[in-house]
Amino acid sequence: MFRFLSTVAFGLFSSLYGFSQLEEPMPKELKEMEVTVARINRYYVDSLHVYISSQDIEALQPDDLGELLKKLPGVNVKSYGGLGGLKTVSIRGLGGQHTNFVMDGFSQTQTQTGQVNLGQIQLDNIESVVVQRGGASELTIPASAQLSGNTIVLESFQAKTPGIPLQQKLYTKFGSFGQVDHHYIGKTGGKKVFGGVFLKYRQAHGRYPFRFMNYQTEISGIRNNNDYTDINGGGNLRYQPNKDHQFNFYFQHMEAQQGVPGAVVLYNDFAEQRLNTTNTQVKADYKGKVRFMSYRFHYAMMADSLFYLDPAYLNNAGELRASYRNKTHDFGVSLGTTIRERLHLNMGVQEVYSKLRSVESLTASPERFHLYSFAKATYSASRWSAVAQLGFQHVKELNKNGEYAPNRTRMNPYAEYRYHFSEKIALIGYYRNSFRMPNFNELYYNNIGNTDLKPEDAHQIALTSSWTIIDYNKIYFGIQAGAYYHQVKNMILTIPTKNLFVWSIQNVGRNEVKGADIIGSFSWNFAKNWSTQLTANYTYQQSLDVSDKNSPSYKHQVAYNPLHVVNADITLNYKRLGVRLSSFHSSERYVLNQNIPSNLIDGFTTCDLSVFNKFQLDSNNSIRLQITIKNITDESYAFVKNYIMPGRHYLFTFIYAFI
Amino acid sequence: MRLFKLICVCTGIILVSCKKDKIEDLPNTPVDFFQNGVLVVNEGLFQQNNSSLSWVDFTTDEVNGEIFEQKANRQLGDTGNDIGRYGSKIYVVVNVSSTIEVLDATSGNPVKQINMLSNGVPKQPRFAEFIDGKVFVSCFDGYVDVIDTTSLEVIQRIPVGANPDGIHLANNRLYVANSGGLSYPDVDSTLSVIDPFSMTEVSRIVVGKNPQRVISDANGNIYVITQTGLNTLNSQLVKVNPQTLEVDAVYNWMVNRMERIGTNLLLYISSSGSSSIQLFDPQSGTIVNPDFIDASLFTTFYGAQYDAARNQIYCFDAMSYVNSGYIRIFSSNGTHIKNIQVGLNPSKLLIYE
Repeated sequence: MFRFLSTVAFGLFSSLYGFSQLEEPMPKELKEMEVTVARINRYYVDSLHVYISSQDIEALQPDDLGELLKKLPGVNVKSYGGLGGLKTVSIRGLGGQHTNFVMDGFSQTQTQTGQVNLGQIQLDNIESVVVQRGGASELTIPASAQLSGNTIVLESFQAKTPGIPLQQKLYTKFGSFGQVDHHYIGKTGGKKVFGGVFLKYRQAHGRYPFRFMNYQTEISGIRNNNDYTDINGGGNLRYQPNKDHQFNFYFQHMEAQQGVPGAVVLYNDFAEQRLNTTNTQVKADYKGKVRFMSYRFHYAMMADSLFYLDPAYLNNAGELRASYRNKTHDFGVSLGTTIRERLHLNMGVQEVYSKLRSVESLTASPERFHLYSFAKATYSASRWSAVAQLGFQHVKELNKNGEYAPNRTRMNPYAEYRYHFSEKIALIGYYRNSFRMPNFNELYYNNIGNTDLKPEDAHQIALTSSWTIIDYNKIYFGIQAGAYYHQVKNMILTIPTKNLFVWSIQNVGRNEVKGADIIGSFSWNFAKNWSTQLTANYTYQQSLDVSDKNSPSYKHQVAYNPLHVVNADITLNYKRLGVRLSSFHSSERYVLNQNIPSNLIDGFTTCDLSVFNKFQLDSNNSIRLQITIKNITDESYAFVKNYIMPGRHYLFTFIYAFI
Repeated sequence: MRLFKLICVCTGIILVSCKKDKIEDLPNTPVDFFQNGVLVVNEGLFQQNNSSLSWVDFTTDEVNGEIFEQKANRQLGDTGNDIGRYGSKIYVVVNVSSTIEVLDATSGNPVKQINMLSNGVPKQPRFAEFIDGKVFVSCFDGYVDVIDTTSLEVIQRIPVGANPDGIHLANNRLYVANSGGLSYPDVDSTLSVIDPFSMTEVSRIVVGKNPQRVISDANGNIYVITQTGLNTLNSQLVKVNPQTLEVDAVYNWMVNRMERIGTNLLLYISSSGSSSIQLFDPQSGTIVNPDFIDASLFTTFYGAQYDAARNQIYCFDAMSYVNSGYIRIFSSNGTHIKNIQVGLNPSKLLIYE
C-alpha cells in the first residue's frame, strides 16, 4: 500500500546499486545498506538522487517528462506550452544542454540542438525517473552520461522482466482542448526470453483560452495553431540464457505533426507555421560477467528529421521551408570490477558519430566524432566511501561544405565523498568538472553559426545530506537538504549584432550559481485502511550573470531563473481510493538579465487535483479510473513571457492493467 | 544534528551573499502635453511585446518610460520601428504587431490604431514618410501603403521591390530601399522611386545588394546603405544622383548607420576590430573628421538624429540589445554633453521645442 501512496520521493539507490539488471560486484557494506532500504520501504533518503516512481507518474498524469520534472527540487523547466510543445530543463542552474537523458541504458542524443524536447517524452511507459546528482557506477550509465553535468535516468516498463507470462496495459485518456490519447503496452515471456510491444496515439486541437494583462487591462484570447498529433510505436526483445549473459534489442519510431503557435503577440494573432518531426531509434546491448568482471557493450542508432513550414513568409517564394536530418551512431563499452571487496573500479568508452544534413536550409554538412572515456575508482569502508573519476573526451568535427570547428580535447575530473553518521544520517559532497559542446545549430546555422565557439565549461561543488527522522511501522518522516555552488564559463549565447534581426552566436556569458534545496517527506497510516502522505520541497537558487563587470546586468539574476521554487503534494488514501493535491509555486522572474522592474514577470502558483480509484478485478486484472483537474484555480501564468499556459482543464484517464 | 547545523550555516552564507542593491525603475511622472523634450521610440525585443515610448523632459531631465501606456491604457506592442509627426498627429510604426498607432501630437492621447493586415496576414510595416496629406509606409510584404491622414485609412498599396525597408522623402519623391532580406542570399538590390502625388512607382534603380537605409544631403543627393551579407561587415555607402537616377559613387567604408548633420553626414563605420563615428562631407566626397564622436562611449551604437534648433546630436546606444538603452547627447561639434537612460533599444525620436 505504501508503494501505491508514493509521491515525489528521495533516491532509493546509491550510486553503487540500482538499475542494472545484472548486478555488479559491490562492496559488502553497501550491500547491507540495501537491506536497510528494503526494510524502511521507499523513503530512505540516503542518496544524491531524486526519484519518481510510476505510481507518482500515474497520480500526477503529467502530459510529458517536462511537466513531471518541474516537481523536483533544483529543476527549472522552460515550457513554451501546448501538447508536444518545446520544454527544456535546467538543473541547478546549468543549461539544458548539460543534461544527459538515459533511457534503458542508452543516451538520448540530439546533436543538432544539443537537447531533447521533453514535450515529446511521454510517461505512461516509464517505471521510474531518477535525477542523479553525483556519480553512478552502473554499467547501464554510458560514458557520455558519466561525464555530463547532470544525468536523468529513465527506465521503461518494457525493460523489466515480466513477472507473469503476459503483462499488458491499456491507457485511454480524454481531456480538454480535444485531447485524445490511447496507449497499449504488452510484454510476454519469462526470465530467459521475453519481448514487448507498445503503440501510442495522441492528438489535441490545442485551442485553449487564455488571459493576458495588457498594461492594466486583462484581455482574453484563444491559442491558435496549437494542434498536435503523434504516433509512437516500438518493440523490444531480451534473451538471457543465464545470469551472466543478457542481450537486449529495442526499436522505436515516432512521428509528430504540430502547429507552432509562437508567442502571444499584441494585436497580431496570426500563426500558420507547421512543424513535423520524426524519430527512429534502434538500440542493442549485451551485458555479461566473467569472474569478477562485469561488462556491457552497446550500440544505438538514432535518426531525427524535422520539417518546418511558414506558409506566409515574406520572401520571394512566398513561404519558408526548412528540413533537417540528424543521425547518430553510438557505440560503447563499460567495465566494472571489485577488488578485495572494498575497491570498485569502473571504466567506459563511448564513441558517438553524428551528422546533420539539410537540402534547402543549411549550407554546411557537419559531422562530429565525439569520444567519451572515463576511469573511476570507488573505495568503500564501513562508514564512508570515496570516489575519484577522470574523464577524457576528444571531439573531431568535419564539414564538407565549408569551415568547421577545431578539434577539442578535455580532461574532466570528478570526486565524491560520502559519510554515514548512522543508518539514518548521511552526508555526501562532490566536485564535478564538465562541459557541453556547441550544438550543430550554434556552429553551422546559416549566417549566424560560429565555428570558433568554444565548449561551455561547468564546475559544480555540492553538499547533500539526508536524515531519516522517524521510521516506525506506520509513520515515516525524512528530509534531504543540499547546498551547491556552480560556475559556468564560456556560455554560448545568441545575441543581436547589427540590429534586432541580425544575430550571431558567441561565447560571451559567465554565470555563478549558488543554491540550496530541501525536501521533506512524511507518510502516516493513521487508521485502518487510511493513510496520508505529504511531500514538499523548496529550492533557493541565485544564478548571477558575472560576464562583464561593466554591463548593467553584472551580478543580476539570470533571466528565467526564479529565486524561489516550492512544490507541495498531499495524498489521502482510503483503501484503493485516493485524492492527491499537487501544487507548484515559482517566484517572480526576469525576462532579461537586467533586473529592472520592466523586465519582471509575476510569480505564479498552480494546483492540480486528482481523484483515482483502482478496481482489483482479480489477482492480475485491475482497472484504474482517474479524473485530474489541472490548474484548478484557473491561474493565468507563463514559464516564458508571452507563452501563456492553459487555465483550468481536465483529464479523464482509464487504465486497464493485466500484470 | 551537527550535520544539519553545517548545512544551515552553508545555506545562510549563500542567502546573505545573495543580497543586492534594489534597482529602481524610471519615475514615470504623468505628462499632460509634450514640450521641451524628445519622444523616443524603443524597439524592445522580438516577441516580447515590450516596445515603448519614452518621454524625456529637458526641463527636468525626467524620463517617463510608459507614456504610451499611461495615455492609451494599453501597451504599444511588439517592435516599434519608427515614429514621425505630420500635422497634429504622431504616427508610430510597430513592426511585429503590424500596427500604426496614431496619437495626438500635443497630448499624446490615442487617436486610432491602424491594423496593417492584408487578407489576415501581417504586412510588417517598417518606416514612414509624410507628404500631401498622406503617410507612406514601407511594408515588408512588398508594398508601400498610403494612409490618408484625415480618414486614417489605407487608401492605396503601391507595389515595389522585395521587403522594402528604409523610405525617404527628397525632391518631392519617395525613395524606397528594397532589401529583399528575407530571401537571402537572393536579396533585392534596387531603390524604388515613387511619385507621392500620383502614388505610383516611377522608377527602380539598381544600387547594390540588400539596400536598407536611405537619406539625402542638402543638395538632394540620395545615399543608401547596401550590404552583401547578413553577418559580414561588407557594407557600402552608395550615392544616387536624383536627376539621372544613376549611381554616382560607391564608398566601401563598412557604413552601418548614417544621419544628416547640417550639410554633412554622420557615418557610423564598424569593421571587425574597431568602430568609429565619422563626419563625411558630401560636397567633396571626403571624410572631414574621422573621430567626430568618441565611439568608445557606446556599447552598441544604434543610430543618431540631429536637432537643428538646439544644435545638438542625439545618439542611440542599444547596450548590447538586452539592457536599457541610452540617448547620448553631443554638441554639433561632437562634444559629449550628457546621457539619458530610456527603454530597450531606442532607435528614433521626435523633437519638441
